[in-house]
This record gives sequence, structure tokens and C-alpha cells, in this order.
Amino acid sequence: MSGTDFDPDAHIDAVAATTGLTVTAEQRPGVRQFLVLAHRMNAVLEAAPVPPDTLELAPVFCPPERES
Amino acid sequence: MTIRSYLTATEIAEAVRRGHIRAVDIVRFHLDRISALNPVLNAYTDVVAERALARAASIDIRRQGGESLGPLAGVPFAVKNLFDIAGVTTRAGSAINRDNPPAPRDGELIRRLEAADAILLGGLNMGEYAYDFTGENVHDGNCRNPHDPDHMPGGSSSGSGSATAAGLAPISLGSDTNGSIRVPSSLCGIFGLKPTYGRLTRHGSFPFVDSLDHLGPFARSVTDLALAYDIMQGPDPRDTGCANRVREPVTPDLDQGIGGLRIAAAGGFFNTNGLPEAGAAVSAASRALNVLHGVDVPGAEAGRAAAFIITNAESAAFHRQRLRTRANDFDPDTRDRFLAGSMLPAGWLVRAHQVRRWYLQQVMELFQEVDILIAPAVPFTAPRIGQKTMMLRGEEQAVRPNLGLFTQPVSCIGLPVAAVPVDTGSAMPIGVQVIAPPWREDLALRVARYLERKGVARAAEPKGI
Repeated sequence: MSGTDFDPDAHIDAVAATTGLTVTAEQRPGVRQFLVLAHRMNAVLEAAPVPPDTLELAPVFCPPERES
Repeated sequence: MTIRSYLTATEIAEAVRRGHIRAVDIVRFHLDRISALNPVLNAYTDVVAERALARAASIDIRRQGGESLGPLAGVPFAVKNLFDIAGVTTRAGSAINRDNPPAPRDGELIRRLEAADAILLGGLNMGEYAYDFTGENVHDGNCRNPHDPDHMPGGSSSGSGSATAAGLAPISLGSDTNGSIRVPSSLCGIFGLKPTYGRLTRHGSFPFVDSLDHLGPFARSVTDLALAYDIMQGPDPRDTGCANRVREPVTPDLDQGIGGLRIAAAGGFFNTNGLPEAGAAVSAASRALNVLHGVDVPGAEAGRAAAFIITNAESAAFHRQRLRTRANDFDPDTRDRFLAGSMLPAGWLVRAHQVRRWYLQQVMELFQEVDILIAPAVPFTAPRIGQKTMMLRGEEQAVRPNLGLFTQPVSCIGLPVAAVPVDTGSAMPIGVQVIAPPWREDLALRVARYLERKGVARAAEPKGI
């Protein structure tokens, strides 16, 4: 799916129920606006020149020493 | 000593410790000022007058008994209403939280400040659940800018910016996830500190985005800012994001000056072309610091996008149950962001965390060549309350998200920032970001102090009240 193919309304219809949320007609324009914005932000992320075949994430889980 | 408006924390503590003024009189003065000005500014949502007066009386008795008082003796302070205050419900700018029981105990940073003999005056207004840069709040009413009450104070720590600017609390505390200390500091013309991510414990505060939330102080002078910050430092295993670092006080070296520091102006994403007010602030600070060159901050746009996605996804997940059962009790603007955030694909969030790590690595390389970056804090001075759009680089753009344009990429990677109000002669205040490498709050505050001593940075007394 290209960057121009994102259909926020179809996304809302498909996903809302899986999250247990209802998006009313009144809420839809605002939700649509923010989904479009998030999609644009993701396009910026996709374009960042992160070296391929690496997976270094910001959060690192560090198990603690056992308390004695 | 005569009690007057805008005494600094340092002045108050010195006078109380020496017995030149009573803590009770300082507290009464501030409570009277809150009564007079809060109906206009709407900075405070909760005032704990009885508690404050009792604590002040206790301090005065200890002083009379010959006891040595703490470094913030008698200094009034207030906190954004996402901090737990014992006996007060932690509203976090919402209507929904009002149904929660009162907090059983104070948040840890309140406890540390009061252990230094500061005195809590109350809770401060904020944007709903901290997802805000304006200071508008449909539940508790809009907070207002003391320099001109028809204008925004900025957010989401709106009450903190407004109260400290208006002399209603020499020190206040706020939170900053994407700019919520730095934006109100700049729009209200005071100093603010967003420390390194993980520096100050968040235990006893209501969260917004665990990956990005920072807590920090506001003040009218760099000395006050540094003093509050030093007192609040120290590890706390109850906050899983709090680093296990010993206290590293900055106050002793505050007046060391800028000799030997490599200071550059941030360009690229942070350029101020078409933003005359922001440009004037950066230019004034850069001239005073003898900044000779600018540097691009690699990956800043991607960093901003990463912070956006992480903020949207994490906060939405946190509020999911409230969205299911009480959607109509949210501010509609905030609610629709959270609803959208609930539907983001998992891959977008993973990519955001990956880019955040990559961007941090790029900037750490930059910090091999540079010790301090000077960047704009906000694109423009405070918009009018209710204003939805602004001219930004010749185009009409939305006010709300663009207020955090320059702050979001910096907090994305947890860098420490001193927000510094710069005197540009503009009608409304504006500030700059003094950005340091991780864990070098000392450098950011040294530069802020230098700008203050040169007369370039100062917290002007507001004329709007």
C-alpha cells in the first residue's frame, strides 16, 4: 500500500471494533484528522535512513539483580 | 525585610533562615495574591491554604527554637495538578479523574521540596491529561497569560507557567513530555528546566507517556531553578524510569561562565526563517554567547515523528478503559487524539522506537563536536486564547501542534534543556532552548545563568495584571 492509499475511514471501520471502541459520527472527523496526521508521521519514520537489517529499539528491558 | 511581589526563592529562604521575615507572613502574602489574581489567571485549581499556614507556623517555631532551617525555608511552591497532593484528588486536568479518591500521600518531588522546608500552596491548572500545548481546558477553564490575559500561557503545564510568571509561586513544578515545561516557560517569560529523561523521579504523579514523561521546575531566576533541581535529585526505584544516579548538584558551579564551552546554534529543522519572533530570540542569545556557527541536528524531523507516534500510542493505551466507558467526558480534542492513537498499527510504534534509538545515536555523534545547542523554544509568542491558526513561514497552520514544533524532537531523546526567556523587546515574552548532552544539566544551567547575568535573559514582571 503506497503512502497515498491510506483510507482513514476504512481503517476506523476495520480497527475500532477490535479495540473495543466505538467511534461515533461526531467523533469521526477528529479521529480521521489525527489518523491522517499519524500516517504522515509514519511516512517520515519509514524514510529515516536507519541501517537495514538492524533492530535496535529505544526501550531496553534490563532484568535487575536479585535482592539478597 | 519588606515582603513584596516577585521575591525570589533564594531571597525568601535567606530572609526566613535569618529570622528577618516569618514563613507565615510569606505564605499569607502569596495566598492573598492568589485570591486577588487567580480569578483572572485561573492558574490554581486547588489551594491548600490550611496546610500551608500550618507548615509555615511550624517552620517559624523551629526557627525561633534555634533550629537551622532547610535551603528552601519558607519558600512557597505549587505543582501541576497531575502531582499527587495528600488529601486532594489528582485531577490531571480532567473531569473523569475528579471521581477518584484523594491521593493518600504527596508525590515524591513534593516530599523532597518540603523536606528542604519549602511550603506547598496548591495544585495548578493544566491541559487535559497533559495532551496539550495551549493552556486551554474545557473542564477547569482556560488558564491565562499574566503578560496579557487574552493570550495563552502555553501548556500543558499552563498553571505552572502562569503562576510563577505572576508571582503566585516563586517555584512551581510541571511535566514535559513533548514540550510542556518549555512551551509555557517561553510564552510566560520565565525559566524552566526539563532535565534528562530519568533524572527526576516521577513517583506520585499521574502519567501521560511513560517513555517520554519528564518532571521539572519553573522559576523566575536561574539560581532558584538550580536550587530546586538540586534538592529534587536522587534515585527512586519506585519509578522504573528513574536512573540510579547519585545527586550531581549544579548550584556550586553555576557562575563558572561559558569559557571553554563549544556552543552552536541549531539549524536545519530548527531554522527560524519566516519566524521573526523566534529568530530574534535565538539571535540575541547567540550574540551574547559569541556563537559563530550553526549546525544541523541530524534526524530531528524523524525524531519529532517518533515522539508523535510514541505519544499517541502509549497514552491512548493508558486511557483505553476510560475511552470505552466515558468517551463523552473527555475534552473532544483530546478524546479524538486518544481514539486515533488506539488504532495505530503495531509496526508504526516499533518503527518509532527504532528511529528514536537511531536519532539518539546521530545526536550523540554531534555532541562529540558541540557542548551546547541553542534552539528556538516556540515558533511565535503567545497566541490569543481560542486562536486555532497562525501564520507560520507564510502559511496558515494549526496553532496547537505547532507550538511544540521545536521542543518535541529534543525531548524525544531525553536531552536536558533549560528554557530561557530572552529579552527581544517584543510585546509578549519568548524563550530559547539551551540544550546539553544527557546528564549535563550543569552545562545548560551555566549557560542560562551567563545569559541572565549579561542581561539578555530575564523574567520580566508582567504588565497584564
